[in-house]
Amino acid sequence: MRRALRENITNLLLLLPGAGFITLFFLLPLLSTILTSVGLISFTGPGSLTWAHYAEFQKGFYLHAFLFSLWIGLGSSLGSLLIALPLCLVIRERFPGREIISSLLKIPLVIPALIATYMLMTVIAPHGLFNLLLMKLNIIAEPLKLIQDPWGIGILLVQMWKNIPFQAVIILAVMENINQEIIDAARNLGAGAWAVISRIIIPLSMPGILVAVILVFIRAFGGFEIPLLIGPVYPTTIPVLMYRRAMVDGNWGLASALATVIIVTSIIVVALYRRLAEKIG
Amino acid sequence: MAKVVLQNIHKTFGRVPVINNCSLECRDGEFLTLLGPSGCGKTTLLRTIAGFISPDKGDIYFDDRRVNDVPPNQRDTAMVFQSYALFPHMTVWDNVAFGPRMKRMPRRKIAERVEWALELVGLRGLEDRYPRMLSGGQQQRVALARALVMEPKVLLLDEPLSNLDAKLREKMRLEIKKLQQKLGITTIYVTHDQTEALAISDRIAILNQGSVLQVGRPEEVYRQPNCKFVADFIGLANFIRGKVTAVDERGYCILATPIGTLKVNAPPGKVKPGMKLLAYVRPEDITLLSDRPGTDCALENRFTARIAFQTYLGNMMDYHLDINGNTLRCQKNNGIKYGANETVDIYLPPERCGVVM
Repeated sequence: MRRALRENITNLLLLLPGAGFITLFFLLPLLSTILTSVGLISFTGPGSLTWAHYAEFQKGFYLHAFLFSLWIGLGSSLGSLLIALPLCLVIRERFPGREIISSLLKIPLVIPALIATYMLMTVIAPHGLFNLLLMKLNIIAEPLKLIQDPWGIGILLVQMWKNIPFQAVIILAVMENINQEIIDAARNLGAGAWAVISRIIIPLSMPGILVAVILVFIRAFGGFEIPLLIGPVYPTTIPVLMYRRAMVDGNWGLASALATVIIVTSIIVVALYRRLAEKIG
Repeated sequence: MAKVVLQNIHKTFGRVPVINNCSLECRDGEFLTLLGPSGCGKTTLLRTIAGFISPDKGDIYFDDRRVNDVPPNQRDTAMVFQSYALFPHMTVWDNVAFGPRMKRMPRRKIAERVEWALELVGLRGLEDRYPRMLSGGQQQRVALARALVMEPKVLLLDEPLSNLDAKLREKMRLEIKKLQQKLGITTIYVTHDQTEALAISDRIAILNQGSVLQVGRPEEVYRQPNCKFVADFIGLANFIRGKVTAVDERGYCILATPIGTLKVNAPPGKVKPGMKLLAYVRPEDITLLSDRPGTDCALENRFTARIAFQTYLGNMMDYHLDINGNTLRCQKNNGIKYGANETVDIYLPPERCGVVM
C-alpha cells in the first residue's frame, strides 16, 4: 500500500512539469483566443459576449480568404505529394548515388521558410532566372507572373520546395520498414513493378502518406510568412488577414475569430485523418 | 510440374563468394531439401531459383527451358517465406487470391481456386480475417495456400517451419509432406534442421560454404556420408582418427586408432594401407555387451569403456564412454542400468562403422 502510494506521488511529480507546461502555454492561450473571439476577453476594457466578430465573416472578403487558404493548404500538400511519392519509390530502390540524392533532399529541411522564400523569389521573379530561361528558349514571350499572382502559384512553389523533402522523409521512414520478403512474395505471385507499387507499397505506406499530407496541409493552411511575402494582395490567406486585423487595425477580437477558424479547421482535418487511419488499419 | 536443373551456379556478394559452383537437379515431382548451417548459401540458392537473385555464372533450367533471364513474376514458382510475408493489409481471402488476380484469371475461376486452396490447408471459415488476427500456424497455412493456389511448376519453401513451436513444427512438416505427395508438386525445401530434412525429403542436398557436398536419399546421407562435415551435420557421430594397416577384399579395412585396432566398412578401391582416415560410428550403433549377456563371444572391435557421464533423456539414455581418454557417445533405449564410473564392454559392429577422408 505505502509503496503504491509513493509510486503514485512520484508519478504525479514527474507528470507536473509537462502537464503544467501544456496547461499554461497551450491550453490557456487556446482558451483565451476563443474567449477573445467572442468578446469575453478584451485588451481594451471589460468584455461581454458578442458574435459580432463572427458576423464579419458574412463579407465575401473573408470567404475568399478561407477558400484561398484551403486552396493553398490542399495545393501544397497534394502538389508536394505528387513529387514526393514517386521520389520515395525511386529512393527506396538501392541504386548508386542514392545516398547523395537522399542527402541533397534534406537541405530544404534546415533552411528557414523566410530564406527559402527570398531564394525562390529571385528565381521566379518577372526577371528572375526562370523567366529569363523560358524567354531565351522562346517558350514564352512575356515573363510569367509567379509572384503575387491571384492563384498563389508562388506560394505553392515555395511550399512545395519546403515540403517535398519533409513529406519524403516521413513517407520513406514508413516505406523502408516494409519487409522486403512481402515485396518478393508479391513478385513471386506474378505482380509486375506497377502492381507491386499500387497494391503493396502504396497501401502499406498509407499511414505515412496520410500523416505527410495532413501535416503539410495544416502548415500551409496556417502559414503566414510565405503568403505575406510572395502571395497576392487579394485574395489573401487567413493568417495574413489576422496579422492585418491585429497589427494594423488593432482589432484583436476579429483576429482571434480568424485564429479560431484556423484552429477549428485543423481539428476537423485531424479528426478526418483519424477516421481514415482507423479505416486503413 | 517441372524438373529443376542448376548448372555450375556461382554467386558473389561484394567480395564474399556465397555460392561456389553449385550443380544440382531436382526431379519432376521430387521433394528435395537443401540442408546446411546458416550462411551456407542454401537460401541464396533458393532465391536464385525463384529469380530474386541472378547468378554471376551458371544456368538454371526448368525442364529444358533456361530461365536465367525470366523475371521472378514470370517464373511459375511459388515461394513460402520464412517470415510468411503475408500481405498485412489484405484478408486471408485476398492474400490467397492475390496470385490468381495477378494472372487475370476470370472471377469465377479465382473463387474456385481460392476455395480449393483454403480447403486444402484447412482454413475454410477464416477468409475474412487479417493475418495479424491469426496464430503462427494459421499464418503458415495461409502462406502455403497462397503458394499452392498458383499451381506452380516448382514450390519453394524457405525454412517455413522455423517460427513455429516444436510440436506444431512436427505436425506441419507431416502436413506439408502429405500435401506434396498428394499434389505431386516439385518441391525445394530449405532448412538447417537435419531432423526435419530426414523426415520430409525424398532427397537431401547438404551444403556448406556455398558448395554442395552430398546429394542423396535421407538414409544414404545418414548411413553413407561422404565427408566428415556430412557425417557430423546429420545426426550424431563419434569420430576416431586412425591409420590403415590392412584392407580386405570384402570392403573392410583395419585401422590403428588411439582406442585400439578397429575394423570398419570402407569403400573398396579407395582405401590403401598407410592412409590416415577418420572412422565414425553413430551413437545408437554401439552395442553395450553387458546389456546382452550370452553374446559375449570373442569378437573384434571390442573395447572396455568407463561410463564417464550419463544423461536420462526419457526415450533413451545418453552415455559418454571413456576409452583411454577418448570419448565415445552411445545412446540406448534401455532405461537407467549403470552407475557412473561403472566399466562396460562395448562392441562397434564393423558394418556400422564407416570412414570419411
